[in-house]
Amino acid sequence: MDYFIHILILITIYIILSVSLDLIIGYTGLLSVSHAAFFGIGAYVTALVALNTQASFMLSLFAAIFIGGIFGAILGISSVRIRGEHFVIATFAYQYFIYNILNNWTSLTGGPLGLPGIPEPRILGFSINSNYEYLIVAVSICFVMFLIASRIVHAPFGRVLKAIREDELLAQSIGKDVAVYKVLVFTVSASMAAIAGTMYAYYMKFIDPSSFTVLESIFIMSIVIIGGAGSLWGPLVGAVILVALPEILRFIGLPNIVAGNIRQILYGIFLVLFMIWRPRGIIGRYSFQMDKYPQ
Amino acid sequence: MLLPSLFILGLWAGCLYAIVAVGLVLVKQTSGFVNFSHGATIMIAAYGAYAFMTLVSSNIILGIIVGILAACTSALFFELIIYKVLRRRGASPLVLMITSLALFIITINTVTIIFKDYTLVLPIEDSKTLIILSTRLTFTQIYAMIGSLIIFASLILLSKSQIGLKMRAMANDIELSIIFGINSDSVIIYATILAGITAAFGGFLWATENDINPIMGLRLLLYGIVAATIGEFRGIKGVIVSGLFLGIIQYLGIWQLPSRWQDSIVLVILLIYLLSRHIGFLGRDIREIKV
Repeated sequence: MDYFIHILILITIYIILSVSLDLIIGYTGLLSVSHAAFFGIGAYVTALVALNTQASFMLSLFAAIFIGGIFGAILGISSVRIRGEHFVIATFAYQYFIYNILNNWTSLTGGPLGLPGIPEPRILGFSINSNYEYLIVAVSICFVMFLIASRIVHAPFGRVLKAIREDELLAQSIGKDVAVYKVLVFTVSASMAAIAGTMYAYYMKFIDPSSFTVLESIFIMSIVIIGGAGSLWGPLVGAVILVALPEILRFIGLPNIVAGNIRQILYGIFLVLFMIWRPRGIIGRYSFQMDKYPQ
Repeated sequence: MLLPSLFILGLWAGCLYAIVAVGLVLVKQTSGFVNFSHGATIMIAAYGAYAFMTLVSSNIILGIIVGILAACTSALFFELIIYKVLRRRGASPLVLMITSLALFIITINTVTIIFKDYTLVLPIEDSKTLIILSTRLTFTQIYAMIGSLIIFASLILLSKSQIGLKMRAMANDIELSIIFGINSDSVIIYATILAGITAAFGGFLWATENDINPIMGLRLLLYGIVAATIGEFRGIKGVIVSGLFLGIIQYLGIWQLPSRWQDSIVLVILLIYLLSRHIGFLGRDIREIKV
């Protein structure tokens, strides 16, 4: 039963991560492989606040949102100047850069050894000390995040994002300040990823940089694309499938050491297959088909 | 450390980055996308050479040849089985890029399963060294640098040949090239093989100085991408210069900063470059207008 709760908590964290990334990839049409960096920033900010102060859960959450948002805004601002495939490279570099800082700024982040011993979260005076209670918190946060994302994409803001995705020049020509929208979507998306980081830090009670690498970013991207970019339920379905399904592998009896690698190979294979046969994913609305290669 | 020796080491690193960048440019010119699975090719070459040299014979020349064969085989496999199919279905460069990321992930994990997580070292007899400008270089490093210079020279000569002309035509305007009768598929195969050779050489260069581990491809790919981006992916000469430039700047940076920040130096150079107007080394600022 405990194991089941563990999987559910992970699923909620990855739902938040993938839905927020979908705002960038599926709705604004920009491929970003830097989401794990924001996830990591949220986790580290939370860990540092929790370890060094008596702050409550909400306070460290807000700290994570704030700092995560700043880093997101930086990427958003650069997305205005850097276009096309160069932007993907820039997000790749940004992700690697933040990972480098987490890994090398040992005095602040503990370097490769990470930050252990994160205390239990306290919400309104109650201490959360069982996985079951934490699950309730996680699901609530996930629910709220999903509602927020839903409000964003169904508002005019979401429509402008889709306009940017389809034809940025046209959106600009009818008076939409594309730069502002891009910066905003990155800020919001990064803050949401940072919230997921907070949840992760308090749950695992120990974080280290190896959870926040480029490979992790690519994994989150895979969830969005396989589940379906451009819709809200797509990433949710993707998160459930890609997080839960490999756990079933454990029951088949694969040795634990290779289970993680086999999982990643499966994600990769699924991604390739989907790219060939169904780029829009399981229930997505955006299929990346622009500038087709001439025959 | 003395400045001249940093310069020499930077030059060595620059050769490495330029070699990886050149492979990326070859694919970008012909297939039109930044191929992240180049990192996979590099890894396969290095691990293939390692397997051969520990199991069969520790001859360096044979090791390089096996590495090249492994790299070209895997690169051709990716191209013919996957990328070609995608192109037939009208995939955009974005789709191809995403697929290359996926292939990269698959390769990293496959290699980890086979070779476990250990860091491995190529068994090379490296006792003889030479001192140039008060820097100690092993003979393997010197041969490797000479080898890469030979590769650069041949690639520059190649770009003037007919096949090179076709590649440049495809890079300039793919639709027009096909209309004029250039067989894009075979030019791409040619470019893939060349990229495989450079990838194998790059992996080998890296392995002479560092150990082989499952994420070596990631770091090398990063360096190559930065060098290629600064060189605007526009031509062989451009990225060779920018690769060497990158290596030298990085090592000059280490003069002042602790060496664990060497990757960050490279990334900061990239971000500065991307944020300023990108004109590129030896390139021209051409904006595409889609009608």
